[in-house]
Amino acid sequence: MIKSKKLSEILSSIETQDEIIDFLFVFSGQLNEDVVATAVKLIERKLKMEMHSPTTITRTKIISTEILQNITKHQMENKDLLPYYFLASTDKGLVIYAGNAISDSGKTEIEKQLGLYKSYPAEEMRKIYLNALSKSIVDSNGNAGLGLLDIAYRSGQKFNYNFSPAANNAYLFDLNVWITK
Amino acid sequence: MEKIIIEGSLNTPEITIHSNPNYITIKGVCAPENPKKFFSEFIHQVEFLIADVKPLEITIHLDYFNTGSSRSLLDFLLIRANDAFKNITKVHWIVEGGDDDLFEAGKMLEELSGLPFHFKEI
Repeated sequence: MIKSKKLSEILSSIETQDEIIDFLFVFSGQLNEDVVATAVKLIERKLKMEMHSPTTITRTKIISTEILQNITKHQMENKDLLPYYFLASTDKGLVIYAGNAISDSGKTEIEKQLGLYKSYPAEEMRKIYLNALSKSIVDSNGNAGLGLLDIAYRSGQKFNYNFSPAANNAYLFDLNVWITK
Repeated sequence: MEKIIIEGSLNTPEITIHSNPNYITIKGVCAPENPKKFFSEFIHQVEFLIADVKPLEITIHLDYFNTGSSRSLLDFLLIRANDAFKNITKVHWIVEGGDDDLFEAGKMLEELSGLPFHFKEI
């Protein structure tokens, strides 16, 4: 039973928007490092059971790790907007739906980055990613600033995002990422 | 001959550091929340055990990684300042057969590090 109205709305919306065959993994709640690692392990087991290819499994684990660790680092405490992560299967492959509350400044930065990564020519993405990896610096908190670019690169730029205004100058940031076969 | 084994965890790899012959093996998940801290401690252990310029071979067999670890791994492969890292003769990059993403990650590290990589599918 999903108690959060928002979460049930999101699930209903997803089911009507996309041709979901099955939800493979559903999580909502506050995250920490151990929860992320355990979630990725469970996702891996589920994908192996469903006989997905090694590439799909690795890609899903890497993208999921980036999404979940980003949420862990940037999640705002908001009991009405708990972070969520769903992994679903469709005829065309897998889809990740994730969301969390973010600040106004967070919205500005994420919107700018995702818009830029979406606009890059597909054939240039490897070169752009390689260049960013070579120039990146890991800061004292362990951030390399490559997470969103990594998601864009690995998904073949198949992602959508949305920001919904929420109380206390917060936004619900929804990110959908497709991992096609 | 001396050996240090750093136990793996849910999000960090098991690491074996071996001196005389010099080799390092990194195996498992590499996605700590703070890769910089994790790699810094690991490099410190390497410098403690390996203090000569004899050939060093590195074997990397990752399950998956995060972007911070990818960059930290590159930083590790680019170290030339200490004797332990002056003579890296080969990097063995091991992937599961058909895993294009991990294979490609190795190709990128090969390009950026300039080190000789040997790719093996298991």
